[in-house]
Amino acid sequence: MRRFLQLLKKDLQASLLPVGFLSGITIILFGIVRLKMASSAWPMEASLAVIAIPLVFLPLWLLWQSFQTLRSEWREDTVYTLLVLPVPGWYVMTAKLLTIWIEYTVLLAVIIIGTLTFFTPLVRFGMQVVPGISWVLRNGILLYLGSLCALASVVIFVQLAFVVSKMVGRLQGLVALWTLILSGWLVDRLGVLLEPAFRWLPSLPLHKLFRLEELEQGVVAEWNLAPEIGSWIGVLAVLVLTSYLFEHYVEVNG
Amino acid sequence: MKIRRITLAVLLLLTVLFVADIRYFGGPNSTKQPSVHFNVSPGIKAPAVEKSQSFVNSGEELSSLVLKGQRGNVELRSTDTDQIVVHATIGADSEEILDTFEVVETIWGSEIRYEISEGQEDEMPEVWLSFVVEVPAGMEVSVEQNFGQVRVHNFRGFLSLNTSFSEVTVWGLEGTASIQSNFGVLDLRQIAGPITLNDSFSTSKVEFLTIDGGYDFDIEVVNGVLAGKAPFQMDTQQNNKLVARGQSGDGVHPVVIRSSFGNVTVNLKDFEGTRVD
Repeated sequence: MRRFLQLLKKDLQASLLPVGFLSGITIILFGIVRLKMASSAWPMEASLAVIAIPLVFLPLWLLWQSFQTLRSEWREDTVYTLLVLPVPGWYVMTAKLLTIWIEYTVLLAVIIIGTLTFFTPLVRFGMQVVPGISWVLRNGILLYLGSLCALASVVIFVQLAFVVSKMVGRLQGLVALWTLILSGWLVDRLGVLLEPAFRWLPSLPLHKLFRLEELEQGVVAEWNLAPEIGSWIGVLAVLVLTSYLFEHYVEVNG
Repeated sequence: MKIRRITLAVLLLLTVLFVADIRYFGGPNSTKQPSVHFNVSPGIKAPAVEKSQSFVNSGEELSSLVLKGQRGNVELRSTDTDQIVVHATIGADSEEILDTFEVVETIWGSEIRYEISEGQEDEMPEVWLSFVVEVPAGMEVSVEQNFGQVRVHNFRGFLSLNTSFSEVTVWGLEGTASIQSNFGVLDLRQIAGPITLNDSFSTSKVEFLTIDGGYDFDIEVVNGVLAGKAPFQMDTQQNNKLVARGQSGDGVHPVVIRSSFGNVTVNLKDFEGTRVD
């Protein structure tokens, strides 16, 4: 566990600068728009646009980071050390995944705190539409946990793509891209193939989980889990495969 | 060098399977059912005030009944008497609104019609209209319903439903049915007779009883999902279109289903064949 924490600390130290830079940019952007709104130069709607900018940018940044955290090991020749150390491959992969989760959490927190601080009128308006603060907190946490799972699957696919690309001599970028597409397809097909085995599972009533009836009566949203279970198993298998390939077959000088 | 060759071989194999899947099975979107089913049926909240009206007519001179409901529930069943009994309930958010509306009965030849009167204001306020109806067996009944529920039990005759944003339940039908549903949920069970179903953005389940003459299935689902256990062969065509054709018995009674962006399940009771997904 201590080795895992050391790996995590190393990855977090590497991401400190870019996360700090992005957080600063976000706060400055929010501040500029707030000043423009205060001087009545820009309407309140501008706050919506400026909040949307980092929210749209965030997934792209995290996709890039999931690739970059592995790439930097080769660029800075630290991959030699990683492979020599007596740590299993899944330590390395999950440490990087956890780093991405923490980056995401920090940047999301900056966006939320910035919104609450700089755009209070918009928040007050939003609170009139939703049933209450407890409803927002509950659903916010549920959405956050859901987004962590979705983010994890993307990171795992990118990690496999990168590791496989390091197992071939040429056209590593194209191989990585193609592996990303193929692994996504394979996991999707696995979900379809295993779906009959999980039909006994009841549907998850999302409208109850998110208390949507408090927002609008008559809304029914159900999540059929049967086709998803196979895909989730597939994603876990991809993580295991990536860790195994990284530990045993990856080319350090590729 | 060995691991590079193995990696390339595995990638090549997966590529071949991927291309074959796209080419012959239509890719990931062709067979995977949508995981999240989302349905919005606004208007479920109960009205604050209600008033009821009842109508009783002899069915001897009348062969057709038209009901135009909204936001409420429509309950319909066949009886062995020759009387048409209609209990209508109007609901509103306040007494003032309720007083301006009533249920209007119109007889036109052999057709009798029930609908809400026109309000005094230009803009129609939120008004509920529910029906509980009993009709003589063999009668032709048309129901129009928006935002609510339609429940039909043990109906014998000609049934026409035109619904949107509604939940439709038909349990027990001997006769002919023509159903149009938009943004709804349909649960049709114990159906014995020809049926024409047009739906869009709806979830439809139809269960047929085995009858003399059998059924002729003609089903087309575009951008949706078709499944069931009935004697039809499914064929996937271009543009996300699923076509199913088949017969039970002599194929006398036509079953015509056209669905867009829907989820359709068709079952024939006691059918021994395999389920189609």
